[in-house]
Amino acid sequence: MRIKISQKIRQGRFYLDGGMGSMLIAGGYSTNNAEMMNVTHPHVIADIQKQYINAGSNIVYTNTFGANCKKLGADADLVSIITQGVKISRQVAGEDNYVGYSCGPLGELLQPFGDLSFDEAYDCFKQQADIVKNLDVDVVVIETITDLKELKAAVLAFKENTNLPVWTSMSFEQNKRTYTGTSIAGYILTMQGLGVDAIGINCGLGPDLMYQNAQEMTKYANVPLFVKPNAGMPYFKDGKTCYDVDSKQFATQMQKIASLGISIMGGCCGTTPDYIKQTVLATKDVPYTLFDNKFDGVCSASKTVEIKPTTVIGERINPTGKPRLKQALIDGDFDYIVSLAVEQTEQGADILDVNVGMGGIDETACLSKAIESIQAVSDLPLTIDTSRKSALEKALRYVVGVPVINSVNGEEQSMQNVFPLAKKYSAYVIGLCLDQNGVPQTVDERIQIAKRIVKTADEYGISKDKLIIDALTMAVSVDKNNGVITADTIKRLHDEVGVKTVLGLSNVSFGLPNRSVINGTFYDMMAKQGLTSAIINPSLKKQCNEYAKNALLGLDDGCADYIANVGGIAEQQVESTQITIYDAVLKGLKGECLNLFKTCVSKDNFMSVIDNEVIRALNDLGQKYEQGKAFLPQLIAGAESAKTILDEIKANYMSQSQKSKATMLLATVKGDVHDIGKNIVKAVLSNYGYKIVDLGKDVSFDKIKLAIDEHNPQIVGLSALMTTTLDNMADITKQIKNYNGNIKVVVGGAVVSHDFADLIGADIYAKDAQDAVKKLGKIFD
Amino acid sequence: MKIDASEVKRYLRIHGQFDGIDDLIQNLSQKALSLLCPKSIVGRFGITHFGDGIKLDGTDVCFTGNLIKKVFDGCDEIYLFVATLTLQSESLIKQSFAKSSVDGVVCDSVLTTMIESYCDDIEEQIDQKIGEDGKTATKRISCGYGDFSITSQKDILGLLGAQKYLGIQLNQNNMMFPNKSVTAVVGAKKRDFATVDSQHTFGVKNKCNDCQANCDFKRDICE
Repeated sequence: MRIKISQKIRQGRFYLDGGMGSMLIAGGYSTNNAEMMNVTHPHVIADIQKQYINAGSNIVYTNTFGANCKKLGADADLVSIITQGVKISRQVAGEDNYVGYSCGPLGELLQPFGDLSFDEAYDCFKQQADIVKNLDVDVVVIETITDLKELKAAVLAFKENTNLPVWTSMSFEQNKRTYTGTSIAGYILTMQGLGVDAIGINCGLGPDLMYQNAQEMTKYANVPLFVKPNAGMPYFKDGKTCYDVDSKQFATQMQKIASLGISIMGGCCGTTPDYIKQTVLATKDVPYTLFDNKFDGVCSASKTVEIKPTTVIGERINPTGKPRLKQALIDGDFDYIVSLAVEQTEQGADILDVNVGMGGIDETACLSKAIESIQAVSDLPLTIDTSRKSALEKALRYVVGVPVINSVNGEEQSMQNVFPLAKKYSAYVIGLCLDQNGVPQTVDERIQIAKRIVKTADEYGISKDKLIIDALTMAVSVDKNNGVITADTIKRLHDEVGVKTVLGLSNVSFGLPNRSVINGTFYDMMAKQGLTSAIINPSLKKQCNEYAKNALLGLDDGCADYIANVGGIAEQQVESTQITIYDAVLKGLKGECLNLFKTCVSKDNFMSVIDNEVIRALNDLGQKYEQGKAFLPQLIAGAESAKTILDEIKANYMSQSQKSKATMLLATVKGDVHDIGKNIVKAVLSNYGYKIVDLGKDVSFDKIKLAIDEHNPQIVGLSALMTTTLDNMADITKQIKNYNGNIKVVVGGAVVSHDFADLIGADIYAKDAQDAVKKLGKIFD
Repeated sequence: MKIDASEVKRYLRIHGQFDGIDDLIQNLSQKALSLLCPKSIVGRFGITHFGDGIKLDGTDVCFTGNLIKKVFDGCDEIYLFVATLTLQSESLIKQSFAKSSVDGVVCDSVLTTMIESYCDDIEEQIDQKIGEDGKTATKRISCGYGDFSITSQKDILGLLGAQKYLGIQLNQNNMMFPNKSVTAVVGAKKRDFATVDSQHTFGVKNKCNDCQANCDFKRDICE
């Protein structure tokens, strides 16, 4: 009679099975639809699994690797395939050996790179979990995954819908990354955070090349580890896949991996029962290790960050006091949010704070979308900054890696909302030293709240290591003692409570001129007090200004000396220059454009600046481009420079009621994944007063129809690069015209011609962005 | 593998002075070369000729069309390969666009140049192998050239296990994702037939100089 598998794998070496596909091929069967063989050829599957048990495997994996609705189709009888698969394996395993339910990837890319949403992926895995939960299975093994986000969806689906232990296994390349970029550290920390019972790597490499990856796992693991390499690297000979490592070589190399302390071993593609038999013989007496690593830090899929002095948390994705970001959130302009993420990443942020909380938007949906968009381009771990429980819960599901929650406070309700979620997703938590009575005015009271947060977290099973206490920063312009209170609180949190600390540091300078001087000085002072991390603009540099220091130490009443001596210096010195806005746009000088604009604009003259300088420059640049005197990057650089001015106007000078010239939907048609041209059109046209709604690439008519209903556009722009998608462009154009004949359809792209545009009934053919400006201008100017 | 700035400029259709472009191309090229690890799989298959084209031995895959017949005439085996700059290339383009559209467009051209250069390296290795076997290599051709159907993309990716090993996805219009991915076929011609194609009149040995089309990116137009 067998003991629970979670106990068994901690008591000695444990052997997995080997390849199923290679055995089927060797037996003359195809691996297409292999899972159906559970129903049609059960004896074949049983025979292979018996061979593995006889070779020394302690477990057989069910023949259900691809038994999901994406691979087998929505109509597949998953209940029969899975039930029968488990039945076969249980009969083979008997009472002494174990059955692992094998769950492979769905075979589709998740958003934002693919079409599959996190929720859809979760549902596909849940469908399997709902079948497996009633069957005689010892463990669920989610294997051969390359996308950490997909793996997270699968783990949550099985953990939330079954009581079975879950093991996970990803496929890494020689560079210690999966092909989606997941690192071994990010994988291990994320999975351990979700409470999986054993972690492994399989497929992709043979045992020799897998050694380095296995070694990397041992640096981070605190659960049992397993490896399942291929029989070497595949090569193709006479139309067949062959592998270059035989069973004896395999076993010798597995012995080396076993010496790392890894206790669970098996084989993947190309391995046979003989590979397992040789591996058992070679490794059974090699000592193993119960890993117990502790890594104090957060991670994304590809990057780990230790929380240590002084970790910089980028503060700029927060709409408070940022009209441009507010407008972007209202418009659903996630590109702008992403640009803030990229900028802060380049400035040296270690972690990015993401806060989209403001009135008038659906914060729950918006926060998740922002997180997905940011994680597509930035490898930094994230801080999820929200006070809304539903938004936090959804964001914690979507975020990839181990995040920080910002924040909990000493109020009972807040802790009840946040701590269960923090525990489930193993997130770090920022705890604010305030409660239902507000912000305490004394250091003692703040320390008491911090201690209450630490104690309550412990009751939820969250260790002190996972807490980062915010001592709170209040403006010194309001009370001269605020800086000192914060400093003393930081010191006592460090010395007495023994927790990590954080400050939303720039609050300290609220209401004062030249804030970066105060902030930089405060940053330097707090670091010396033991501050662990700071939520700041990553470009902020530590400095030590005596006037700022005195103000922060409460030695400067009303900050009068500071204001008199430092406040008069201009915050940003605009370099004197002879060039005009017209020149700056023409030359694509983004920074100069905005500086020049800020120095000369007022509420009365901004329209004339646009007409006489910006638009004139864009038109002249467009003309040069048409004449071959300027090139595409120059055209775009001009457009981008102009956009900095238009963004400034949008945020600070125009009222919401001021309308754009026309609304235009832009899309690369269904089937086409090239969107460079469409992006250029967007960059150029948005400067000419058009409101552009970018629907992205691979866009169907259904999506366009929904956008038409929502945005009521006057124009739809369609782009296609490949001849194979021209039919789609024709269909979509026809459907748009049928749906709303008043909408002007503009088409363009490398393979589109004037004749084709006429043929499919498009209103305008634009050969490039500049052509679109001219032709649309004739209608809408 | 290298990223030739003049090739990048050709894709950008820049054929004159443009302040700052050289630095931008250099920066993005360095970034691409340090961040991206291109991956490829090569498979060798015997072939049987038939009326419409060739059949790959041991499989049920056929490539048909006049181009196939002409390029692989006299070949007894072919090499299929798939190469990709991996999903990280998509992230790099997204990052660059997030910074500015200029960075995005230039990055796209840098990566196009990079994948082409990588394919050239693979082709060179295949040529060398074919030479060692006492045969002559044809130049490479890809699905979508001439009448070589784009639908063969699916067969090539399937035979090489490109989804499993490289993560390449194919959409319903046979476009690959990551975008910076290439499939290609190189033939191994028995020596007796080598003279038939000694000038490399098809395929990409001499890249666009051999191409019949007059597209915007044509070298002699750009230069």
